[in-house]
Amino acid sequence: MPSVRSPDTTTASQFVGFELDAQQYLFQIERIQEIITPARVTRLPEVPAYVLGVSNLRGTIIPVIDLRLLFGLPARPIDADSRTIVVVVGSRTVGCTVDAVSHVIRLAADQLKPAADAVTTEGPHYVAGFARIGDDIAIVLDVDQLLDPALLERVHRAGGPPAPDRLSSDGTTAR
Amino acid sequence: MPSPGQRTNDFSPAEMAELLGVFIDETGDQCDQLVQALLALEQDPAQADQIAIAFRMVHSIKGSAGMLGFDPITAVAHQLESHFERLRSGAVGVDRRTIEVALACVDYFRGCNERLAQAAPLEHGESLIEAVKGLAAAAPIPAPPAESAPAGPQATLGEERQRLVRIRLAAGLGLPDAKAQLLLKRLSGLGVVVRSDPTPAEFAAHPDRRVLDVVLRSGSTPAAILSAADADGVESVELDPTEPAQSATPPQPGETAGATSVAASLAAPEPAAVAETMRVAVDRLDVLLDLAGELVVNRARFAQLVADLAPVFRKPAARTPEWEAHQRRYGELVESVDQLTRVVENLQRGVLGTRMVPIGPLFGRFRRSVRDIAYELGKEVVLEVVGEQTEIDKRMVDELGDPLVHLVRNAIDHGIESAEVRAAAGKPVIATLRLEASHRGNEVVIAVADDGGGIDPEKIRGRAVARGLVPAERAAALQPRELIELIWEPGFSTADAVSNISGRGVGMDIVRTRITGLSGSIEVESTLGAGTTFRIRLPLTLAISRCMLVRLADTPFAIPVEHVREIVTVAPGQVLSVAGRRVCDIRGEFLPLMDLGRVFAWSGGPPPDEPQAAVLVIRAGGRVAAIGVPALLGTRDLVIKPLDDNFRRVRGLGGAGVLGDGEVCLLIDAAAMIDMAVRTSAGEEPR
Repeated sequence: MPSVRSPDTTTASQFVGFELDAQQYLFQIERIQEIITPARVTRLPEVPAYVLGVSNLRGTIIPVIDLRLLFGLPARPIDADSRTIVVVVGSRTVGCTVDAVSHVIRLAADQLKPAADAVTTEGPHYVAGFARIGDDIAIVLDVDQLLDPALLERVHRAGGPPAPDRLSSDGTTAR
Repeated sequence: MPSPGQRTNDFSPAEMAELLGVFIDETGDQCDQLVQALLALEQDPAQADQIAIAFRMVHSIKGSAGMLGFDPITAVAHQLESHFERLRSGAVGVDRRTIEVALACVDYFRGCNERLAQAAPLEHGESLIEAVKGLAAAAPIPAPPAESAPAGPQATLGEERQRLVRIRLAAGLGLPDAKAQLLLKRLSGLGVVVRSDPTPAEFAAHPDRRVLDVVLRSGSTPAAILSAADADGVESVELDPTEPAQSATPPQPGETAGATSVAASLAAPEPAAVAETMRVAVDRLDVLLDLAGELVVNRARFAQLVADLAPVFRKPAARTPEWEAHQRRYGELVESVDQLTRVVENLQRGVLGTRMVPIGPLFGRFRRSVRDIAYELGKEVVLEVVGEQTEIDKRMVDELGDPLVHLVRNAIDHGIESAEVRAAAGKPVIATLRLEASHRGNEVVIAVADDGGGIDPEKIRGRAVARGLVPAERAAALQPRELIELIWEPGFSTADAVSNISGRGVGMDIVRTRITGLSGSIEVESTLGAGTTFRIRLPLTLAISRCMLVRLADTPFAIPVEHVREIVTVAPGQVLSVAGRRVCDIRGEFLPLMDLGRVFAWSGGPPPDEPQAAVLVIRAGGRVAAIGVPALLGTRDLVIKPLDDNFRRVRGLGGAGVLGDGEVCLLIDAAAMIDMAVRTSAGEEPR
């Protein structure tokens, strides 16, 4: 479980922020191996649409997941802002494409709100928490729950993360 | 690490650690060879060459132990060496007791190795030294007079003949190298392909050559050979032609007498020249392999950049001297990248080659254990080893030892019956245990087969119920096939009496777990009364697989050449539609025909239909299907990686490889694809 679930107000952790359909998301920086411009992908048969295919990362063959399609969002063509974030899940290396990588941010543990029980039991299990960044609320994603190849179908069935405006209005993450 | 039994020596601890590693490795190998020689002598004590090998091994062990100050080892080796000296001079003969004692010495040497590896003090081998001395003291036993009968092997080779098969390929045939490869594959099914002229690689370099000469050693009839060589795209086949082919150095045609020169130089098992070798830690090779992989991708990047720049230098805006200088530079750049390509490709192939080792030495170890186990259980078993040259990744060899030991023990203990039972059943009293390795597509298949009693499903039923593995009522309904599968259940053991060889309940489930841990699979096939075969399939995680490349829309696919029976062009008139299924007629053989794009299910719809360029006849697991492909790209050596390294298994695919330009291509699992093709062509929706 990511450290955000057990807040320790004295430490700060670093996150990488990225964008998907105008929503901000955060990955813990230590889970990210690298961020690359989308590489050539070989299409795979017999897999759901959110698996774009496989790519060659310096001799290692990794799957590339389209996070938009995984969340059930409309597809969007790759453009100059698109990035593939390469993460490590257990012993596996997995790539996921996002609309854009926005920034690296340092957040103190008390700036992070763990996902309320209501969200994790009924809502998506891969949401680790929320963070307010300026006027926006970013969703902190749990890499292990989100991108483990064995759990992808579960993520897809759970649908996209809850809309942030609903979250802020029902007070779950509002200060 | 000075310890009792080790003299202090002049080496630094770091030097000592390194030397120790080398010592353990080397003596291990020498012990293996010593055992081989001893077992050969047990069969025929009069073999002077084997005595010489044994002597040399003992001498080497003594020498290296002496250098490092391992006195207890030196003492035992010295005594044994002296005895072999006497054997070598013929003063005494080899008897069973000699073999026993020498094998005990080998066990001692191996035990010492283990202790050294754990930095434990060495044990002294006084009792062994006494035992060896006892051998010398025994009355000299003259070696049994060697019968004047000719050595065995010749007699069995009787019917085989060396033949020259001259194949003329049709003019303008695409991919002659691939065709040559397929023809050689077919011919090798009939015997041993001694050589081919040109080799498939030479064909690739000279696609205009049309004559392929194959020297085949085979016992098959001329008709069988001619029909094997007559494939699609072949214009004519001649057997033992008298005319030499232009440009080809003709090998002697097949008369047994006339063929001696070729046979002697190419086929006779000359004592192989020992290549110079050195030991390298596998970790270092891993690092090299990764680096070579990165280099391949970097090269691809260079090639891409050069290609991107090409238009700039093709269209001069204004032909200035400056522009011309740039253009010249660009030409040099293109050349350098080409050169880089060649070097990188050879480097990658070379690094991969260093990791592959023949499975022979691993199998060789079983000569000893089969003998020992059989002796202990009072059974007579011959070990037959097939495919010793099959190369597998070094890491695999290390992991395979234990599971194989378990299977071999099980086979001798539970599978093979006692001599009386065998005689009563009319079977040869001496049982055969076969270890066999071969490459099958992207897999290494290792079989452990015995000709014993087979697995009795009824016995299993009783045992499974007794052990509470299956409720009695469910067990009663199980088919024999399902019952046999129960041997994989944890805690299952069929031995009626628990022996000290096997049957301690740490059974087949452990074997299966270990094999699965290597991303492999194991299956069992058993016929009551006739024997049991365990078949282990391992991915060639790092093995190079020779593949036929095809492109489907944007996706490159690879099929191991072993699974490509032939490449044919099918005219529309050869395709029939039977109840909505397409069937094609290939020389009278009706095969289900599927387009590659339709075999698989694609999210977002299949790739756009493209005209079919060729039909590949795919063969796997005894079944055949015809697959239409839009573009053939030739053959390539590929490094196959399982998809579940970073993702998961995908139906119909056996892994993926990286092409020279860095693109990922998908490896087709031929057996699974035939399944899918047959089902889809039968009108079932792909999943």
